[in-house]
Amino acid sequence: MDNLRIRKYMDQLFDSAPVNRRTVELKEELIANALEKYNDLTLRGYGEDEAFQLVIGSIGDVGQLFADLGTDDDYSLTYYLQWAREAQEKKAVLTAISVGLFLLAAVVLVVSFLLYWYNMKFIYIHGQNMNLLGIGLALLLCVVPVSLLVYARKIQPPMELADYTVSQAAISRETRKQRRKRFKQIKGSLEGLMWLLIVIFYFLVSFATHAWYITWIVFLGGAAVECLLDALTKIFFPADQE
Amino acid sequence: MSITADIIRGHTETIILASLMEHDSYGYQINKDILRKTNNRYELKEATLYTAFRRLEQAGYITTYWGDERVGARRRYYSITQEGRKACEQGLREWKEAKAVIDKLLEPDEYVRV
Repeated sequence: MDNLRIRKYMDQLFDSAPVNRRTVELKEELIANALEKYNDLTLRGYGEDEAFQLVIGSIGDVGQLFADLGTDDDYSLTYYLQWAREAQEKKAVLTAISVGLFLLAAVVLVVSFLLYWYNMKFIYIHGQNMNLLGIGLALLLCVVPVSLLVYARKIQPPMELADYTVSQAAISRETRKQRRKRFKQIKGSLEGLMWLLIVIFYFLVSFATHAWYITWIVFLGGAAVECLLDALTKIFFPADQE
Repeated sequence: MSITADIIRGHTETIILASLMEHDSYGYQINKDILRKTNNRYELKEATLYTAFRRLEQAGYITTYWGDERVGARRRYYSITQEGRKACEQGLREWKEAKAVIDKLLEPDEYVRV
């Protein structure tokens, strides 16, 4: 509640400041220290209004401080681009992991149904129909990627940069190249992990059920996932047209 | 404004450097140190403090980095450099000299004239 009041006051105070990275950092620094001071004062028994007045009263004349910040607006562009690049990378990684987990859930579901249809002893424990286990596991696996995607959608520019819209074209070809490379590396390690898990899964299930004639199907699932990841790479990180 | 407040403001940079001599610190912490050492009588205005930080940074006397607080807002820490330490010692020497001079100018002469 009062955190908002201090933030609002700072917003007004910084209205007259130049828009650049140093300003953004100074504002963050001032807010952090003001909030800590405010909390200390309220803990020491000051009322909310009294504490707020003391905090803003001790700020003083910011004229000189803002004058020192300069006016180079290029700085804010750099800052924004840096933020945008990091956010994009984060979103790409989150999306890739989510897709992988969704596919894993699908594989689990399919395999559990196959086992169910082939009436495996494996899925009957104490006479109970254990395909519920497969469905439950698949649903549970979906929880994580859904949360990841919700979180990825929530990644917004910091308040100070929210108005700062930059066209996609401004992000240079070079940064896109780097991003593509990074994604490929991550994709590579994810695929390695996936194949390892598939092999372990294959042997575990096969030895447990002796259904060697059907368990190989998990490798098809793995191949499908790999194709999908390739497709995603092409969608999200298209090669530059030379 | 009292003379003391003026003098403190005039020595903002040396005071900041002196409080960074012991350990890295951040804006509010430094102001708290000043309050504590002056029995809650003096503190720097934020504007004065942060203007001094920028000047000290430009002079190469301090460096800055962001803390990695898990909860709440990030703190911006400051750390003194080797040049900063020298500047702090220099500031202390100058202050001692000024203090001695003012003492001599203001205090009545010890030698009673006959």
